[in-house]
Amino acid sequence: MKTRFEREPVVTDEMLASQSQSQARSLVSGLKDDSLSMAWRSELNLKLLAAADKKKKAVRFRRFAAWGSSVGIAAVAGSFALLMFQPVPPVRGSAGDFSGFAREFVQAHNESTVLASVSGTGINQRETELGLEVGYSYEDLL
Amino acid sequence: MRGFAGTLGIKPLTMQNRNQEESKFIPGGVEAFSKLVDNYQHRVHGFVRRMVPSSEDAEDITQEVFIRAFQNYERFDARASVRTWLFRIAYNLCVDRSRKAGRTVQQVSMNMSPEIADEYEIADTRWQPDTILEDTEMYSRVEQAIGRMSEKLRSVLILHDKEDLSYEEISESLGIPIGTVKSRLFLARNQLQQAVRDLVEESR
Repeated sequence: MKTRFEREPVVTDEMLASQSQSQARSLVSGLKDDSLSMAWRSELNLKLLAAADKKKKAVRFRRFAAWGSSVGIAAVAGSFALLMFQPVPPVRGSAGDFSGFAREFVQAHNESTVLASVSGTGINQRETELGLEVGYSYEDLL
Repeated sequence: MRGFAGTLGIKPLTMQNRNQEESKFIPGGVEAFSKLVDNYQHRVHGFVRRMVPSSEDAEDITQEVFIRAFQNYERFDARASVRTWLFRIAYNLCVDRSRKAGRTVQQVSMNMSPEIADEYEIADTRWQPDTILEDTEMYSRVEQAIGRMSEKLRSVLILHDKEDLSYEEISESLGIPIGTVKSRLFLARNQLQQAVRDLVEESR
């Protein structure tokens, strides 16, 4: 809220064009300016050159940062696309995929492992499956 | 009708296209910017010199004005006047410097009774601006009187009466309404006139 003292008077163009105002205006317009020395100007030129250099470096850094970030984004996007669209190799490792000698070899190994295990140490899913395949149960062993 | 300059494809140097031309100088680097400095260094310095008490500070601030202008030309709106922009930077730097130096911007009573306003409507015939300015001692005391004004009044007075900025340009430079510009100008001139009256009476 403005106080009484902060309120500004309404001044019209006529008031500003009065003779007394024109007199004051002439006084101010006739004031002389100090001249600036050549040394002052040389110093300003040096400061402007330094500012220009700093500005160039900033522009270069901004360009590099923009270039670097776009390259980085492109590399990440490319890697992601490569991983996403790479053909998936067939999953190997289960006995069902082996054929011939390999399948028999693995099966024989699994059976011998089960048979060689000490009874009463517990039973797992694999052992149960194999037990069923070979036609015995752990109850027979107890 | 196109004039001689028009037939040669040269635009006449109106204030509008002068501003456009000047705004083109800026992006061209230091050499191009130097032209702008040449055009405005004395005017900016004249304004700053009357806004701060020390001449060394005034020189520093004037340099700072051009450095800031150079650094921030991207932010300059080409539709605006270059000198308005420069004086805005100058004014802000002067105010900052005053604050740092612990000088607060004086609050001025803006209240004026109709009687006082009427009194100032009458010109003082005992002195003429030309004779005051020719007298070295009186001249320096006029400068002192301007220096004793508040920054608010002084800035408007110098920008309008010394630097010939329009009310609109001052309003833009100082960030105040046009009505405020006019009332400050009126009060500043009245203060100056009163100071000169006192000087004239003292000298008699």
